[in-house]
Amino acid sequence: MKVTRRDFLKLSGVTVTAAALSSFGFREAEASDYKSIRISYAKEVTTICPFCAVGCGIICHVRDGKMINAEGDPDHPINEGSLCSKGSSLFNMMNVYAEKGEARPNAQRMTQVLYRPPYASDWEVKSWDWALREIAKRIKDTRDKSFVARNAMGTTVNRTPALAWLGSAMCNNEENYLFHKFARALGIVNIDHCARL
Amino acid sequence: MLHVRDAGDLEKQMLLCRRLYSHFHGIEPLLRDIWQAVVPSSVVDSNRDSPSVERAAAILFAVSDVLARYDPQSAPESRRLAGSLVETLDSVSRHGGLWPASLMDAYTEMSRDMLALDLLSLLTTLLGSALFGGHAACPPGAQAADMDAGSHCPSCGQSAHYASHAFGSGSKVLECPLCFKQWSHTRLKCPYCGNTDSESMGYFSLEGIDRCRVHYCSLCNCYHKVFELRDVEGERPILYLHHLGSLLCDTVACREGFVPGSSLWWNDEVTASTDGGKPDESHSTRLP
Repeated sequence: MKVTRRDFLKLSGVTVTAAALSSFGFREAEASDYKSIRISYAKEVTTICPFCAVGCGIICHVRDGKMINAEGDPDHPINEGSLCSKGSSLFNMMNVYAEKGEARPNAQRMTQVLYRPPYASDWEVKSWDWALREIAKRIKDTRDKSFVARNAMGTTVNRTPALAWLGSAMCNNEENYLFHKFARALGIVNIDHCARL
Repeated sequence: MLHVRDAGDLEKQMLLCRRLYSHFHGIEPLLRDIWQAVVPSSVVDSNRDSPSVERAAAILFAVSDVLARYDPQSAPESRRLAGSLVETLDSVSRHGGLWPASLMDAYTEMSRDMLALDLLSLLTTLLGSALFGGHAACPPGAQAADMDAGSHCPSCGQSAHYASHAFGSGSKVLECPLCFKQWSHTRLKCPYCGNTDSESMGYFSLEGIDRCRVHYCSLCNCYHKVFELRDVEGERPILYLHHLGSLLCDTVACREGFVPGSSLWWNDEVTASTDGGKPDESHSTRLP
């Protein structure tokens, strides 16, 4: 079997630089400067805009677990790359701009469950498990205290006016339908959606 | 580059590349002289008759003469390489004619025994742009519509080496390195293996060459370059010039263990990592 020059060099495990385009100035640095070149890796991941029910596709650029850029997803059938002013500001959910224009993490972004007890002035950090149990308990308690079986005219209404429910643009139609059913089953009549679309 | 017929268009694009790539001014005179030696002369027929080995030879020797003026030490090597490429082209095109596919066949055959693959890639792509640039480059009878429009050019079948983002939508537009046709491709999908898992794909850029992102796929280990030029005003950019201005990215990509999905090698090193072998991880700063 004929062994080519390239095969021979590969098998011998050496690195050889052939003087070629470098001699005409096509490269900015010699191969020996490779270690001093800063290389920045990132990934592109897709997500859905959280602001309204249209559900535009967004491509987020992520480096070291942090979002460095967000743009419309051109391959998403809904928006085909375009974003409205709200979707375009997704980057600012995570980052704000400092005095000289550099992006810094947004200190106002919520990253944990906070609870302020009645008449307290400070927020307490709580776990998700505690929060979900507490919310369920308070819905039940509020419904029990405020439930109206019949109105003043004697008509059966079976409603609770003390609760309100908001749908979510991050959920699809089928999920929001189930949420709506659940809310109605509880007797909630104050129902809306975060995007009103 | 040699598919551009207007010197004014070329100058505008060179001015842009001079702004974007810090060392582009070093190769600008060479590229300008290559263009002058090939395009305005009778070497390239403006009536676009069928490509022939004779025309290819005239183009290649004109380019090698320009290269020799800039580096006299490499003159014998450039001329020998041009001659070998002509001979190989003559051999592979004897039955089916001279098409981009036969150009790649000649490249593949010569690359087995060559060290200076980047020079061979330069000659091959310059020849492709002069012979086929901007025109449908299929042999008679070939059904271009059946060609897989993934990484493969819908005109000639060659795999893309670089792309850009379309102004407005931001969709990825691949460009053929031989006939320079452009076509759209899904952003988050490897053009070479069809992988859509974003966890196994990503990109890197080099400090000082922010406009060029090297997109890679860990599944097939291939890379291609994507130029971010959406905020650059003016006419459609000549991506080939941006590619030549960012060749360091190709060298770094190979050092990081990736292989060019187009099969056109633009680095000047031969290591155990080339030709799809085990990547050299010693310098890699790849994310997991």
